[in-house]
Amino acid sequence: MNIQRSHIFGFIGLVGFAFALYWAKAEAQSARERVVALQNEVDKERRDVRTLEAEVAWMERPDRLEATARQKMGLVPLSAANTASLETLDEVAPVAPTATAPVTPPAEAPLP
Amino acid sequence: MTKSLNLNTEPTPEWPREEARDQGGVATARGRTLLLSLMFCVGFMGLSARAIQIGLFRPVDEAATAARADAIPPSKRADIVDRNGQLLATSLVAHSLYADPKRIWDPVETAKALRTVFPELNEAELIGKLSSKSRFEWLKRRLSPKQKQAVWALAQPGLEFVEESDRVYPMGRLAGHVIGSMQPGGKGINGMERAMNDRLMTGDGVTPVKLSIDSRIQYLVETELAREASSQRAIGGAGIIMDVRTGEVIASASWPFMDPNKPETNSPNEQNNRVTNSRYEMGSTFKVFTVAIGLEDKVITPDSRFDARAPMQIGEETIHDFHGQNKMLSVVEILSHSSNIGTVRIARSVGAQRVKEFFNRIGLMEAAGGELAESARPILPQRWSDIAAATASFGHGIAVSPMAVTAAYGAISNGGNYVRPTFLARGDGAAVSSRQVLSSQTSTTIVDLMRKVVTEGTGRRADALGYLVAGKTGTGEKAGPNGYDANRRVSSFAGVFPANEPRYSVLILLDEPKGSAQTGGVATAGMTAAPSVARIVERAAPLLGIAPTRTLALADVPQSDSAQGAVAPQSNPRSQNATLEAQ
Repeated sequence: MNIQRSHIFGFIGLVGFAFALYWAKAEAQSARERVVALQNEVDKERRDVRTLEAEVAWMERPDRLEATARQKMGLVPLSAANTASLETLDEVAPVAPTATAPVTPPAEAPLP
Repeated sequence: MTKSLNLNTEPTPEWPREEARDQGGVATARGRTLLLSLMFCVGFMGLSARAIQIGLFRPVDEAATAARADAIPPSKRADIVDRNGQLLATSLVAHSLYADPKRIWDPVETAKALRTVFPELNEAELIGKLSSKSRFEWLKRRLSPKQKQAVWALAQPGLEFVEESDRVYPMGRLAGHVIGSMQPGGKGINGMERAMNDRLMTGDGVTPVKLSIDSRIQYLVETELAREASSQRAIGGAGIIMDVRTGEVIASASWPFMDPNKPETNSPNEQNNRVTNSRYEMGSTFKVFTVAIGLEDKVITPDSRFDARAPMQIGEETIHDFHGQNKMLSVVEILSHSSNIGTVRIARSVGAQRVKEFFNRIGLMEAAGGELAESARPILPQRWSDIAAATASFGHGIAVSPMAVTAAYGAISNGGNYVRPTFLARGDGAAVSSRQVLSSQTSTTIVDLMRKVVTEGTGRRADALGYLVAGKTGTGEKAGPNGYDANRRVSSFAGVFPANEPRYSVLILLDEPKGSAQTGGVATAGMTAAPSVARIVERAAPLLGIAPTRTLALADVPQSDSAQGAVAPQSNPRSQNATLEAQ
């Protein structure tokens, strides 16, 4: 059988094509695995976010907030007696005249 | 005898051979070699083909499955949030404990070790499970992280963990009956978890189901309901606030409360949602409906007078007044003094069929539980005779759910349109289907009459500081084997606020209140449910963006250095009022 040059080039081309195909396949697989890894990460983050949201909701229970606001900040529930509209605000809580001298802007201090 | 060796080799016919004679061996060997080569070639071709198939043509996903299997994706069951987005139910990953009995060395020792972590588990049952011949036995579902760590520390072989999706309700018992609960890893048992099961499961797991409930208002209603029901030693209670324009249920509380995190520990009494699933003969709160029919049909006016000087006889029944006035009463007085006799006279003037037809129009003759499966149909008179309509006109002989009454109060006060209650938040501008049951003029009149009940009548204790409440008290007796039992009452107050432009209907009901020291042992609605409504409205109205109608702040303003300005909660964008919360 007489092997011609075209046969050799054809064979090399075939091998090259097969290698290129394998390379593309390997890249695709690698990309796919990266996607899966990222998806796993997203799933984990979502699970963590859900856990944190549940913990925040637990901390924001109305009974806990009410008790904390009362004990730590001295707040009491809102009622009609301490509610005012913007129009009546001046009447409800008039601005007290200040006895002190007008505040002058402080001298500029050098930046540290 | 020795045999001599013949060294003189003579040629014999067999030796030496003249030439090699092929007897077929070479050909056989060559054939075998060829066959072997062929087999190798075929084998290698097969392997090559498989290598090419794997290398070039196998789908990439197959390789990924192994990597994916080690992470449990988040649950596909959607979260449940309230109308402001506050989380009410979510799915987290929990660890459950199981045993592989074949790997257990000593079941007794392992059982004893496990009981140091889980003292509530039965040791004999544990030993039985750990000695079984199966390869999988559940020991404990949904462990806390501390419990899991403690089991790890036991270092017992054969104890394994598996990750499971766990439904968690971070608000605890808040709105437990509305939210509902779940079977472990299964379907919803009750509440919206059951009613919305398909919707919760078919979504993308990210978009939550938004309830109409406002958890802040729910908390206020639950707190007040529990306080009043406990002090009155009631066997149960119900509290509702509903938006009369949209039918959205802002708060729905049934006492005793249910803990959705531990569905197995709730007693049947705790599991029962009295708001939608219990039926009561509500008593005098029905009188408002009867008066509304008379006004709508122009049979009466607020000033019409009826004879209530003596008990009234209908067939074999005698109608009495609890708060007997023994005089001619106007319609205003019939409501404010809660006259049974006057109400029956109005009912007779409009006719039994009209009473039935109107009750049907305002939703009293159908289940009114919104989306909930725990929604009882009312108990209705079998035949709407004159006596049946007469007793139904003041809330006896007909048993409905508290939610049905709340929705009906919404219909008669919002301009006369019945809107079905819903536990799902409606979007802004969403169309609300309704049916006209009264004219707006009648609706305005009936709200004015209910306001007089609060200012002049039996509901005076429902008058909230700074907010106009209109409504009606109702004290019904529960039916027993020997007729109505005066010692087993149902006390309720149903109403609307603010009365000048009704926006919310409200109801508080106490099931068998016994009276308390504060009420002097009295357990009527005016002394129990009515003050509860006042306290709820006083605290809920500011959060709902309703401005007070009296300038209380001008009269008595607490002055404090620690007073801090705060804007109104953002849940209701209609609220433009700046509010001040002070010590």
